[in-house]
Amino acid sequence: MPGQEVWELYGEQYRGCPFKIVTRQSANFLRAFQFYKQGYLPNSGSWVDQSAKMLDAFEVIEKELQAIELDREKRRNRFKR
Amino acid sequence: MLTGIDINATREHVSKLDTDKDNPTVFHIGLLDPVLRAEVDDESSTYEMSSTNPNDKAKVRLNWNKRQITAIKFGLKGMDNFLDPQTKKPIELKFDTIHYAGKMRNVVPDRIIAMFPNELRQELAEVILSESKLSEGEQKN
Repeated sequence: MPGQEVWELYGEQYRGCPFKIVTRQSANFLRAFQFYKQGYLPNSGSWVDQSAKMLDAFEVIEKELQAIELDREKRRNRFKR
Repeated sequence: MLTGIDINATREHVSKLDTDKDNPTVFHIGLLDPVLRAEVDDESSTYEMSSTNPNDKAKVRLNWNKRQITAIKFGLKGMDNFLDPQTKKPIELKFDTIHYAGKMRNVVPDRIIAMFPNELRQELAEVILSESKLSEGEQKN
C-alpha cells in the first residue's frame, strides 16, 4: 500500500516515504548549507556571528556528504577491479 | 520552533511553573552564537588537575548557577507580563549593553535575573541551551 512500504537507509527502517520525515528545519539547514558552500552566510558578519545550532547542522551535513563520497569512491574502486 | 538559522529569531516560551494560565508570562527565547555558547559551556565546570603536592586530588567544580545566569543573560531576548515581585506591576525589560566576547551585546540586567526564582532560572537556561544545540533527533533528520 502507498505510504506503508518500508524503506531501509543506512540500516534504519522507515515506514512510508523517507522524504516526508525531513523536517522544515532540516530542509532550511540544507538550503542554508548550499548557500554557505557558495560563500554566503545567512546572518551578517563572519561565522562567529551565526547561530551555533546552524553551524552544528553544517558539520553534520558535511560529515554525511563526506561519508557518501567515501562510499561512492569505494564502489568505484570495487568496480574497477 | 526556531529554524536555527536567523540569529535574531526568537520563540515564545511559557513556563510550566506559571500558575496564571489566562495571562501567563511569555519569555522570548533567542539563539546563541558559537562564541557565547562556548562561554556558557566553559562556565559550567572548572578543573584543577595539577598541584605542587603530588598527593592532592584533582578538583572539579560545577558552576551550574553561573552557567544558568550567563545563558539567560544572553539568550533571553524579551519577556511580556512578568510582574515585579515588589510592585506587582509588569516589568519593562530594558537591556544593558556590554562588551563581551569581542563585541557589544545586549544583555538582561542582573537585577532582572535576580527576580527569577531558582526553578524558573533552571528552566529558562535549559530551554535556551537546548535551542542552541542540535539534538540527536535533529541530527538524524
